[in-house]
Amino acid sequence: MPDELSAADIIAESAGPKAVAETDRAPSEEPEQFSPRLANARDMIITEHVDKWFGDFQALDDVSLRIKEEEIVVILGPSGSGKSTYIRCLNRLEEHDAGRIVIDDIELNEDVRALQAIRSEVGMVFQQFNLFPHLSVLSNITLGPQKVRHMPKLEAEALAMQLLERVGIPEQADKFPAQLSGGQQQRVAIARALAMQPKIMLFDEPTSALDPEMIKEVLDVMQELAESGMTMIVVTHEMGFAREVADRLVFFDEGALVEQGTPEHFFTNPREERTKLFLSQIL
Amino acid sequence: MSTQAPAPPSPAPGGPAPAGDVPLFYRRGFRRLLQQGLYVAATALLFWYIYDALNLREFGFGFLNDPAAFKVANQWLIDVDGVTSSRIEMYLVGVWASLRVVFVAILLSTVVGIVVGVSRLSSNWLVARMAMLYVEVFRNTPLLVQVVLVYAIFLVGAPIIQEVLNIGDFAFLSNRGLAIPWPVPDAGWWGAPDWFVGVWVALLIAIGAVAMTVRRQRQVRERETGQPHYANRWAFGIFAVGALVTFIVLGLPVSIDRPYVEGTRYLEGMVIRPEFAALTIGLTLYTGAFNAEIVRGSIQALPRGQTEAANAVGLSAYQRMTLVILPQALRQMIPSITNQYLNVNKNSSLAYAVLYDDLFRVAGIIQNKAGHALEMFFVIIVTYMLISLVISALMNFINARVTRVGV
Repeated sequence: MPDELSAADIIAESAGPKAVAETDRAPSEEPEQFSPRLANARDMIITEHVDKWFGDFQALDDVSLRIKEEEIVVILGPSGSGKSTYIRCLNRLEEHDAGRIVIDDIELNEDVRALQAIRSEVGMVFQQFNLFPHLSVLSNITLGPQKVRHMPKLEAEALAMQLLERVGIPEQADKFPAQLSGGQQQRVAIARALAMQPKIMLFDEPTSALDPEMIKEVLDVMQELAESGMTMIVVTHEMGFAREVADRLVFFDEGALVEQGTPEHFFTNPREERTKLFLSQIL
Repeated sequence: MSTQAPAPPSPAPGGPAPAGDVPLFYRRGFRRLLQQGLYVAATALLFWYIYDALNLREFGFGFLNDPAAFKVANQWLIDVDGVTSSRIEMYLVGVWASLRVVFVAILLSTVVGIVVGVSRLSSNWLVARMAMLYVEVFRNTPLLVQVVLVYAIFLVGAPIIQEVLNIGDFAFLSNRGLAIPWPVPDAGWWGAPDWFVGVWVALLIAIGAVAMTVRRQRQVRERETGQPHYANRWAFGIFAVGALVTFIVLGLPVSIDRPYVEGTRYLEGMVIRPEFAALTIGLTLYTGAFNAEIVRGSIQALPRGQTEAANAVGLSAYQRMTLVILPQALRQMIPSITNQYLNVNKNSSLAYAVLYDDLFRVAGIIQNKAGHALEMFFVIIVTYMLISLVISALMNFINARVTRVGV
């Protein structure tokens, strides 16, 4: 088994960078359309020609995307299209095999200091919440600030309570994750990520594991967060959220960035056949 | 039966038939009473049969107070001469010998288990494969074979006492065992009596308590202020300085006794005998392989999301392990590890194979001399059970502590 994998890895590594060098194409075939409110904003995330392989399966194929400060980007695509892999590469839960990723002027490379710096600037919310089941809600939120930022306990707890107020469940502070509903757990997870005072928030299908009646409470929190000026990248199938909140939609298929544009562009006049097919299936 | 009891009346359509209509034999309450009555009768019969067949009218433990008239090896810290000592004293020497093996094997097998278990998850190919090889070899061969093999290697591989291996005049290795230096009471500067050692040990415990209190306070302060307070370094420093100062003030009451060889005997120092070493090493290697699998399984059983969430929050690899992974993995680990510790206790009876005078072997000698096999086995079983229950109780205590939540 490992032998096969390593052989495939070698092929992937030799093929990846070469392909980029040969084609040298523009970040996207289509000019990026930024919302007018972001005209003068600086680039928060720059990804150029990013490739990612799992064995001999190419999960990301030459993905280039620039995201502005305070921009809300929603990533759409069928399952297996690489959209989760893309945002997981942004805080290095997955390592990209080729291309460049720059977050807030820090290049993501072999330097472990860069990794630490980026992880404390990028918050992440997972589909399965991934709260720490052995810690209370409050401790889940204070863990990062106390251990990574060396924040005094009282200060961290005050911050945690403030965040729990913000996501609407201060009364759950002393409970354990297993005692909460899915929607409440996901809101705690958002508070946990916010406690590190990140500049960017990544959402990996945050409502996909929730019962329908709990989706709204999570989306409301995300919308409030978007309005507060957070830079957000959201992988989701919630078209209502995409239409109302996003500055830009990005469509992935088979690991490649197929089309991007404003919500209006997507829902009225998508250009690519694959985009049209996908939208017709989920709308 | 069907001829004796009338057929049960079919239940009335509106509900169950009134109790009076059901024949006694078919009533649920009567059936329960009947079954229990039969069970009690059978049990009573069995015990009466045992009592009668084994002639338990003479059952008693008086013989344990008679003089032993035999000797045992390995009587560390307990002094029995084997002539005037009673049989029960000799038995307690065996119990003490068993406890030593069990204690050391449990400690070492835990260390082996954690190191090998984590190594199996290593991304280093060689480390992971070596760990796997170790686990597969020692998990899939009998413990008896391993114990006897280690013993044989010791007896055949180590030099005879006439050609003893001198390790820097510090330790000596031969097939009679490994002789190492050992602390003994000493007169010191101004002729300190032996009981000064006791004073020093008591002081060490007191200093240890102080060090732990300081450690606790500094941990609390670290949590409240967020600034590092180096709790472990402080605790260690206090203990080291305290131990040194009291040692000097008491006039150096302890000295290190170095062993030497005279003729065919080791004198002074501490001798780790081949029997003890073989049994302990065998138990350690065997149990360590099982512990390694438990450690690996408990860590792997955690969802990947826990590692990812810890990374996303920005914890370091060490913080991730100690704050997120291990607290959860230990919960899964401790019940299984407890079973392995109980197995160490029970498997220590393989001392029989290498002639180590553990409790089972001493009990066998007593039984050879005095008879009373039934009583002796009763004592043996109760002893093993007591040791097991103590191990279980300690592990439950540890379980309650490590799973307690707190950041």
